[in-house]
Amino acid sequence: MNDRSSSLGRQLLRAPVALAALLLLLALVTASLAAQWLAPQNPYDPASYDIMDAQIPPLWLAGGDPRFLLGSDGQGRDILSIILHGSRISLLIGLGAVAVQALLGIVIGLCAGYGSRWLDDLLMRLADVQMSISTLMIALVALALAQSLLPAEHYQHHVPLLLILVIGLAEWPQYARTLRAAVLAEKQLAYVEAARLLGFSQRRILLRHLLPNTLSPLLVISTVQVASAIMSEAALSFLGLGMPITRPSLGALINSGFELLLSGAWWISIIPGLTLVLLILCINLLGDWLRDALDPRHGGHAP
Amino acid sequence: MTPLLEVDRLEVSLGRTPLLRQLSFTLQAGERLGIVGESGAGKSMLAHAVMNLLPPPAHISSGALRFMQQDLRTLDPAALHRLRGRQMAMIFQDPMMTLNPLLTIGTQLTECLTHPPAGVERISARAARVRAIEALQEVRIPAAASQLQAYPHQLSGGMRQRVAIAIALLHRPALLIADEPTTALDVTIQAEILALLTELCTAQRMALMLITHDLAVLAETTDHTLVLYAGEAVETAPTRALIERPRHPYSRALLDALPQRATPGQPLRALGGSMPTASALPSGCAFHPRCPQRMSVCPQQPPQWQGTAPDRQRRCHLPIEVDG
Amino acid sequence: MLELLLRRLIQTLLVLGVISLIAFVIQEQLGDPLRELSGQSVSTEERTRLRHELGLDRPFALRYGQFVGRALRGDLGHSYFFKEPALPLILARLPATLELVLGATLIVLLISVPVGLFAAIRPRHPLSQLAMGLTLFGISVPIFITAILGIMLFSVKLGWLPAQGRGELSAPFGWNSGLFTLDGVQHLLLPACTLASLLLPLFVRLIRAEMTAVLNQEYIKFAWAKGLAPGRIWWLHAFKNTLLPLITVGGMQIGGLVAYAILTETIFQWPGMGALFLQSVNRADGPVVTAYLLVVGVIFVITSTLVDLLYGLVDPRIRLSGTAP
Repeated sequence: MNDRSSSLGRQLLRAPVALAALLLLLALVTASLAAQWLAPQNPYDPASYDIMDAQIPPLWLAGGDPRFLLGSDGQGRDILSIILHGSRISLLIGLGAVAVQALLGIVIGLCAGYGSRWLDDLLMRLADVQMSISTLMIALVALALAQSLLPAEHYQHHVPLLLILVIGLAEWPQYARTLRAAVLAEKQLAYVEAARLLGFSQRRILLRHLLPNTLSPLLVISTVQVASAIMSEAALSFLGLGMPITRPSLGALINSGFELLLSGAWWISIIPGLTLVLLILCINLLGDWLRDALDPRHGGHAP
Repeated sequence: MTPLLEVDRLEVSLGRTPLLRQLSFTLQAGERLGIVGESGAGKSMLAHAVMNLLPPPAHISSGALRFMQQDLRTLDPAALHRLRGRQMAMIFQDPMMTLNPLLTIGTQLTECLTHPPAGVERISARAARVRAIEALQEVRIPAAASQLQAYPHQLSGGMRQRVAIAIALLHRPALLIADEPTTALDVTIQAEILALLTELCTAQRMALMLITHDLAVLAETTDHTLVLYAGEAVETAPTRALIERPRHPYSRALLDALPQRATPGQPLRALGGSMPTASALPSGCAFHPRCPQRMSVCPQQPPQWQGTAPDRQRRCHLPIEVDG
Repeated sequence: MLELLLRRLIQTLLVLGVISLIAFVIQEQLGDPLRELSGQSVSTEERTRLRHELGLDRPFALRYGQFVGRALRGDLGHSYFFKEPALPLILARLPATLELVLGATLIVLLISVPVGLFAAIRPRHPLSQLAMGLTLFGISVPIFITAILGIMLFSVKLGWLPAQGRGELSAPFGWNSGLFTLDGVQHLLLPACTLASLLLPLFVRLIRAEMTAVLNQEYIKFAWAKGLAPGRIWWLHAFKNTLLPLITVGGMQIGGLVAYAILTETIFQWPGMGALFLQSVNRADGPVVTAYLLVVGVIFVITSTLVDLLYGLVDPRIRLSGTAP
């Protein structure tokens, strides 16, 4: 593994676009994780902002205020601060959802690839059906149900967890199919047969042999899935079903600025929107590069 | 008599790496030439070069290619395209891959006549259909008229190759290039297809360039043979003479390795090692690492052509033996 | 072919059955019918009596059966919010959603096919490189951001296109359509383009990848060797073979198109089914939510079947044997 990761590192250094994407991504992530210390204002503390400061344009426009580098929103909160905090929430939900998907998908993929033909057919059928129903639809319905089943404060409090669960449960098919394909391919290889003949238990073969070799494709789709999860959460929050405006993610912030768009306070929606796009773009660029680097057919370093 | 095809010191390269080097030969009208060599020797490249179908970035880097006295390298692409299918035709190895799975056999035949490139006369659909049935009958496909509606996947491998030959021969080309035409077929069908090719070439006075790695195929179907190794020609001889008395150590090894030549009870005489790739050629004679008759001069200098007759030459440092 | 249709029919019934079950469960949980029907404060005895009258204390299977029975007759209950039958409410907005979705599909096809084909045939051309770069950008921009940017540019700054509603409608063929008036078409443009932006990058990349793969096939080389007219080679031989994966992937995107139409309709205040669905979700208006899910389920099944038929039409191997090779 050491060998491969160091050669990957060297390859990364030679790809300027991917490198730039990685650096920008790291900058965004660090900034958002350090939001508490970096943000000039705490947007969650109602005492720290004032409605009289609402809709102040960013610094470089007429009417700008050095207290609000990127302007202020409809409540008088500092946009920069909300972006920092909101990015953190978006990232956490994105990563959390992918963790759930990955776990569920890997388990199901292993069962399908290693289990009986009948089980495989059933699971893959299920995956097909679920993949044809958009995540957004599943999330809308699930969140609607949650909203009506839980009392209001409960729901508000647990929204991040609900989002992670819902997006995670909706997207497991991607992981399951990838893993199953890898398992089926590896199963054919001689070393699995050899291990079996040598008497290693199924589980040992699974964990020690199969899993490490299926890591490459999993890594590649993980980047895509993180970007997709972040986009899903943003869409849901934008529709009002995700993070509330009191604890906004980027999507919720964009939503809050939407009505003010036509009246001229464009920065409330556009600036966080561009931040969101930048975040997703960096992840996608990295994912593209990773896919090419890990694919032996494309001239990358094979394991 | 001016040759139909003249290849003069042809070089095909991929980027800077030459895949075919200094290839020269001529093909007369009606002559049947075999090109033989291991996989990777460049035989297919040669065929593609003549037809101007080299997949980029492979390209002809130097040398001359003259067909029917036209310089193929200076001809404009449209003119070259008009030659294809009409004056020179080609069939490939796996007919399942060469026929479009979504179109009927009939369409794939008639479209050559009803949809030619600009500058060539179109034929009506009805006339094309008649011609298509004739073509199928020529290659001995039974119930030709009803086969027009068939799709490639409904035919057997041998039938598909016959269809490909029928398509190639529609315009009565002067030259047919067959790139491993029987490799993907069953052994019994192979003989049929080869016999068909021979018969059609004779009947239509068509030149044939048959590319194969299988020497057994050459014996029946070609008059003359060119042996390729690592992108270069190493021996050229009439086929009969080559098979009976090969002069180059590589040709000899190829023949020795044939199962038909093996002595029962003895191990097969396979040639050790493998052919070098274009980017890792040995110095001097490319064959010297595997040559059983290697001499000290072989790694140092590439060998020159030497031979007893203009059509019986080989490139080797060994002294010419006079064989009876 | 018959076997294919029969299998399809069974699958359809299964899918509709599952959707109806989910819709039923949702309807039961979403919103309180008792409260809606009788006002906020109601005594416990009243509640129990109402429950019994409405049959809400019967076993699940029976209630579900009744639900299905009523659904088959077109009765999906009354909207808690509008106090009107739910199904007609949804169906009245179906034309608006269909026009949006069809408009978006048309835009996707009209742009992605030429661009994708060009990028495959001339991969090193600067326009191809640009197109590929734009698609990477495109898949990174969420659809609502595209909408916002579109509104900012074309509506607020330039004032060329309206950002809300359907505009002037006319009914030449019986339904309220925006397609036959200039104003209607102007109103359709931004929403349809926004929805199209969801699929455009995907399709451009897909067409380019598939076309490139097809162009490397032996039968294309043979078509060149045959001396066919180049136009015919690009279209009939190459592109036709690209259609198959295109149809397959396209079919899988229908679900996404419908779901993101909800978002698009909400942003542009387009009076379609999706917008009503979202509002009903927020209002816990169970019957309307159910009606929407069932209608969408039926549409989904119909389009899936059409996609399968289309695939069979293009691929003779399926048409003749009924199963994939």
